[in-house]
Amino acid sequence: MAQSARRLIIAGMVGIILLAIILPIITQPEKTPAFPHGIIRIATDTSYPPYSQDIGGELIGIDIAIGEALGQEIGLPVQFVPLGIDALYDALKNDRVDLIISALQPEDIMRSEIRYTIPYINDGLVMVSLANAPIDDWSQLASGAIAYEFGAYADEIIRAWSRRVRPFDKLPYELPDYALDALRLGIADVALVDMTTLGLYKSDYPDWEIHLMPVTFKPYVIAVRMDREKSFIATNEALDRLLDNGDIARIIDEWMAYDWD
Amino acid sequence: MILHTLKIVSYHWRWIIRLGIFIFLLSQLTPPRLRVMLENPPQTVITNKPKVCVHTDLIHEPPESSIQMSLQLIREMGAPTIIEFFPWAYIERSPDVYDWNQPDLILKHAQNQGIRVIARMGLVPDWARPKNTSFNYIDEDGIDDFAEFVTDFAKRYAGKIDHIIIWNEPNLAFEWGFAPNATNPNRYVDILKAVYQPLHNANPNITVLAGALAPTLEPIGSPNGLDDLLYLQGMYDAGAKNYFDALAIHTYGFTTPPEESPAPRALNFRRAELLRDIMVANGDENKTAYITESGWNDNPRWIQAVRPSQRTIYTLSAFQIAETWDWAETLCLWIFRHPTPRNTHRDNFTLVTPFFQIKPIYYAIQSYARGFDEEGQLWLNPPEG
Repeated sequence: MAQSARRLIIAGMVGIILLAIILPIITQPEKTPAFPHGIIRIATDTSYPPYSQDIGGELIGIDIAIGEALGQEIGLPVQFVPLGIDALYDALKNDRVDLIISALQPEDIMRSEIRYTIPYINDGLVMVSLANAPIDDWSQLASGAIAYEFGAYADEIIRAWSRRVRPFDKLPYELPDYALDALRLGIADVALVDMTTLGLYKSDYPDWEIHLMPVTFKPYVIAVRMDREKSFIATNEALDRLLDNGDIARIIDEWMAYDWD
Repeated sequence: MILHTLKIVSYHWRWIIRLGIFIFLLSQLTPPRLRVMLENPPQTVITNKPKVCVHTDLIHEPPESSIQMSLQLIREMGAPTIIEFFPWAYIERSPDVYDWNQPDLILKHAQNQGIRVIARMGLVPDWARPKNTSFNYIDEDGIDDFAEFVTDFAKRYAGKIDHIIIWNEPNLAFEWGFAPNATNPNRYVDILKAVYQPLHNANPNITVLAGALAPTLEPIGSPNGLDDLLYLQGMYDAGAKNYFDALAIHTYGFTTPPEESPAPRALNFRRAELLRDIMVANGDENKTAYITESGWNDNPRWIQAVRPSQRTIYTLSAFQIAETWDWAETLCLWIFRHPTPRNTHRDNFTLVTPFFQIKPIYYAIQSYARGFDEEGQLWLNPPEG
């Protein structure tokens, strides 16, 4: 009995000593900085204008400008690593880069390994009508005419909708710009295009007054490794501030007319 | 102890029976498994263009009904052949322990729809490669294991699958897990030598397809890959000639029309002709080729893509060009459908969406293959004003 009591006391003392050693280590604030290399390394696929492209060795585009703005906001220099789309996630997982900024949509199957920030843009489909004849709903389209690009995602949506709503005229065009031309020229009541197409087109017609109705949501986000919580928090917060203060809107506006409201 | 248990049972037998009934009833509340009926009688593909073919991704389809629906659509499109990937890593998860369920399902439905399957083999299970290597890494021991696996595969499906493609795009370092000297053709020819005779022993009617090279202009010494023309000649120099029966070709149009003339420094659809020239120059003019990957992408932003309208026209023209190539057995488009959205430009290679929404290009190919009347003008003239 006395022997077991002694054992118990010894075990207790060993436990206290171990706790004294381990406790300060685990409670010590993590010293690793958000970006341990002292630089933010950003992977981007440069085959995707107007988001990221390589013009004679110079990287330009919305994603490039957002990366640079993030660097300024966080207070670290940035280094872009141009990669093919297939190599983006591998580079992140293998610590070749800290972030991916590349017109990237979140992928559910990646969520165990990757954190995604808040979106910085929505490139979904939008129903465009004239400001003086706004259309907010498919039901308003009955017996109207809708213009879109043949074979594009808008075409798929319209084929699906045409089975569900009252008849409307379908006007497929070879290019999405022709669909917007058809709306502008009064041939169509509505055009269905993606936000980037509209933004680029609207740059050529800044005074054209239109009404927008979002149809699909296609967010572009920044990807960070799951085990880089500090990098993620720093990036997400910086992006949030840039969205709040209007810097992101200004960057996008340099590349295309994008109506945030 | 036993006596005690018996006592409890004898006291509470009514409650035990009630509990059993309750558990049985509860189990009946789970949704029934979707039963997929085979079509009776078995179908045949009606087509005027037997070279029309698609690459599928049925191995990743969880529900059997999606396998069937995909193959029904392929049959109705008029494509008598598919290329399907049968990853070694999925089937032989541990040595000599096979899970044939998914391949069996695919074959069952392909046969029911009258569709020929060409199998592509690769992807190394973790037990067959060193630790911390990727799925594409293979060493000498792995090659022996791979040869054993493909032989077992060929034996099992003899008469159902008579065409096997060995490996994928071996001229890319990525396809070897970035191993040292990854794109040395000798490495690939070693695999061909290991599998060729065992495959013929397993199935005397087998056609062993080699190549499936990635169209690329990567120079000698590049860490990423090697020019496909140089690589094919390298394969012949390494003695590949007696170890394959036909060449698998990958040829993409990228942003150019299919008519564009081939040139060694150009990546375009007719680059296939240059690969054919190398076959002929090496005395392989009697062997045929199967174009097992091809097509155009219609992502709105990707610089390697074309517009959906161009994609449709280019694809139909490519089929017409392939008709004139007597050495080409198939022209298979990458890719019929992905089971889930990829959320990248990869979605813009498909003919049918993950939700089985059929894209207009599908109907255009169907009209071409089956001789249906065209709907008329597919798109309107540009608006004028």
